[in-house]
Amino acid sequence: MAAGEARLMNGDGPMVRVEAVARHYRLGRHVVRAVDGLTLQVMRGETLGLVGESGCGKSTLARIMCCLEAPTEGRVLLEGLDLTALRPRQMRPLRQRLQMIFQDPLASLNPYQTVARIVALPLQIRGGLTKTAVRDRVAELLGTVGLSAAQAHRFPHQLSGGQRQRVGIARALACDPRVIVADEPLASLDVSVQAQVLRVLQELQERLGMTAVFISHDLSVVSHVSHRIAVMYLGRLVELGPARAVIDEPRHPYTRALLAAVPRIGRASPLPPSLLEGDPPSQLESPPGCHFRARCRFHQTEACHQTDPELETLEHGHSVACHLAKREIH
Amino acid sequence: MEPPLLEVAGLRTRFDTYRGPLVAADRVSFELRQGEALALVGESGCGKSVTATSIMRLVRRPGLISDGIVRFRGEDLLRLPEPAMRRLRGRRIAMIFQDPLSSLNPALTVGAQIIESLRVHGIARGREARERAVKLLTAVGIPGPRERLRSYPHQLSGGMRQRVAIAIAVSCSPELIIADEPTTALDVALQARIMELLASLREERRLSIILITHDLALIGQFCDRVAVMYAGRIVEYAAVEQLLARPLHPYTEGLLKCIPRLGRPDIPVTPIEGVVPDLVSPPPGCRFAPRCPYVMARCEQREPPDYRLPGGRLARCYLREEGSEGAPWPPEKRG
Amino acid sequence: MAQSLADRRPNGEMAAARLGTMRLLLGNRVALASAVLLIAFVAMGVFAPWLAPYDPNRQHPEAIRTAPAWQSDGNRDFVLGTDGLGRDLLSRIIYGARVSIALGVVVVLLTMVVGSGLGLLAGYFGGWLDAVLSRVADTLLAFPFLVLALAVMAATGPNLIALVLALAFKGWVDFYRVSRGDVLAARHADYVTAARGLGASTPHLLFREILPNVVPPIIVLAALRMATVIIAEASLSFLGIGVPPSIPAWGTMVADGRADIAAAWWIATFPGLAILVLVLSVNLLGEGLRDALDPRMSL
Repeated sequence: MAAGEARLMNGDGPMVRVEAVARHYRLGRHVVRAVDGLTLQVMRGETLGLVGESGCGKSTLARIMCCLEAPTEGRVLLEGLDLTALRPRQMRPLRQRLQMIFQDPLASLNPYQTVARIVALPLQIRGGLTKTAVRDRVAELLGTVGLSAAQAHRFPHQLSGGQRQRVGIARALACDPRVIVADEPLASLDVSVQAQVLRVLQELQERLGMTAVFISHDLSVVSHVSHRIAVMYLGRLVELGPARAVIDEPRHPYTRALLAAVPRIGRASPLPPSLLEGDPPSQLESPPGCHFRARCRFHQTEACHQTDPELETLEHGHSVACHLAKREIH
Repeated sequence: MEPPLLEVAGLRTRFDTYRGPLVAADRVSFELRQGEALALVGESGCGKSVTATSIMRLVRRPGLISDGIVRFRGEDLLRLPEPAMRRLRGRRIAMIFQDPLSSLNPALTVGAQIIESLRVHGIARGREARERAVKLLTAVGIPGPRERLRSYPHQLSGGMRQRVAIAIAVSCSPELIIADEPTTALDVALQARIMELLASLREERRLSIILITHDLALIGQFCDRVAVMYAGRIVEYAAVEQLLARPLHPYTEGLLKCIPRLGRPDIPVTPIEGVVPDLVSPPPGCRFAPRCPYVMARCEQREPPDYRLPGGRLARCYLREEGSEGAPWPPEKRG
Repeated sequence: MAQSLADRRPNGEMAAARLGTMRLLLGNRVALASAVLLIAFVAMGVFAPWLAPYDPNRQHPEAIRTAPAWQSDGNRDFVLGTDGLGRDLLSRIIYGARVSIALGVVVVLLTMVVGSGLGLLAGYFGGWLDAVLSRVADTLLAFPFLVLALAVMAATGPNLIALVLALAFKGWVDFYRVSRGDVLAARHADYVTAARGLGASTPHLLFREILPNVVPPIIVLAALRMATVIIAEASLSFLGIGVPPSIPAWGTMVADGRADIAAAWWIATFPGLAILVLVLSVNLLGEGLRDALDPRMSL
């Protein structure tokens, strides 16, 4: 990583960790549990993929991780330092260590600022660089993400979707972050542009050894960039493990269903019958037992109706929150 | 062999922008047989949605259908008087849009919208219409259909809204459904359910479908034939399995190579370099030439014709000149 | 001067962006014409002493109610005729521009700064500040403008400062609402969140990120409000509680000419026309600005 503050906390510990994090909203009489008692950590240099349907809370979790939103419960630790315990004034200088790449690049770039201004902002906030130094660094960053110097004077609406997203990435990199959280960075892009931006991200991953969280509903993309994959459902983690393992040998019924639903080139028709019942329920209901019960097509046991399964490690760092999965291996 | 249900020949739709005329769909030609599912594949700006709205004659100023024939059961839709076209829309050709939140009227209940469709096309009225609406909602898999009639679109989830849109589309038993990116805004699980629904409806009602999408994997499961569009032109046309197994146009090949394959991180993702050309001033020769890894000198000078290839395939690429059979197809519209 | 929009040379991209805005404004012929007219009015007011043939308050007892010059019973000395006291209409109209425009500008500036400022704070910080201010704004809106103005002017008598305050009393509410609304929208925008994530301070967020998004609608509103203020002032002057009678104002002139409308129609008509043209051009300019100032519209 680049030079800058070198205040390493734990050399071996996780880079970022969210502990028992929850985010509740009050909606009239109901409480919406966008994120519910979730614990997750990302190791140094690792890319963790986070998947789930819309409404599962992954964007909320992303914002909590970047301290852009305060959790109702739980802590966020960066290299061992509890960020949630800090006051806003103390937090501010540390903010650049956790950077987010947003889903909609048009919304995440100020329409009244040029690309140069947008990318220079983190440098200016950090201070300590001359105007020339800032300008040079901006040019360097634009080059890293594959934008030409000519683009520096354009406004966001003059750029294509892919270019805008690259600006977002450049801005995040300008912060010399410890962790980058990419919230559906490819979602609003065309297929061929997705591949271009994906390559930028992959190159950065290789060259800089970035620690990253890659959020997407697109399982194919996630499986290509992640070392580990976490699957979220209704604000909780239902499966977590090495990317290969989760994709090739999914243990949770939800993961299985998601994977089965992904259309694959070369897979012969007919369409496989969908393994998921119904539409995703709202986060308002919380009947007793496993939260996934209502949509699970597998044969359900007593336990499924009574208790919500905890995330338990089955083997090789592969954890599942499912009563059935735990029984299978015994 | 019976004539095709839909024949599009030389369709040309342009938009008069303040920067100049933009030809969004340029001499588009394809045909669709009864019961067939055709995919129109391409990225944004390629002209697939414009083609669909042109077929339905829903193009408004500054857009204009400037040329071409659209023959539906032998009748040229582009030359029909508007009242006749109105009777046809929704009744014999129906359309499903990408975003059900904007394609459904937020101020009317779901029931009202289905019933309106039935009433306007003279299918049913009053109580009978209501009963049919309930049956339709059941058919598209909406639980509690009778109560749902009184729901407003914003009270339903995205997946349910799209089902309602599908219900409206099939309400008058059309022969052709044009689905413009019906699942793009939905999660993969919902997408699977909606495609399942469309597949079963297609079978039950012997529907013909034009599916517009950018998702090449999706068409493999659902469609028979596919037309790949780029910068307003159709660049390849083939049966789906053939196209996916062996693409004949560099753009199609590039697309297939840049899609990450689930569970195969060993297969690298290779992006297509460059960007889509500006349609107000497209490049002189082949539109894909600036980005094509196989580009030759002649590609930049003149646009290649559609070469007809074995198996009913077409490819607009000079590379395919060798294997071509006879004159390009279909004949450009004359006069 | 106007570069071709297709000209995208690396240097001067910024200039191209600004020129795009200018070009859009210039391209809108109606807005352009309005801007020209407005400038003409302002010039008229500024150079009044040199432009007006007579002192506006000077009475010509020998030429009372003289018709405009082109009429058969007109007089070349008084181009637009004279009023009931023999004062030259043309001179009074020229001088009247000062009142209308100056008042318009002052009141609008005052309400804009106060209203937008409060709206910015209310929208960003929310809480009790927002609650209190919004209730005050809503309450003020409930008062009919004329009643309020009457009360103020009756209490203070003919007084320019009081007039300004009367006109400004309710005017700030519009600016407050627009800027508050825009701030609320911008506050949750991803780009503001992103700036927050960079460790930007609150003043930075308010003034460097959010404010630029609020300014264009405010400017447009200012232009449109100016028209309202001009009419409001004219109405008050018409009612006799506006500008002190020693200062020529179009509204007063219309009131003066009311009684003579049948016989000496010009006394009320020309000042009325002046109000119409000024207000129309301000409105059209405002509309043109609306298009020109949205960066997404240019290029």
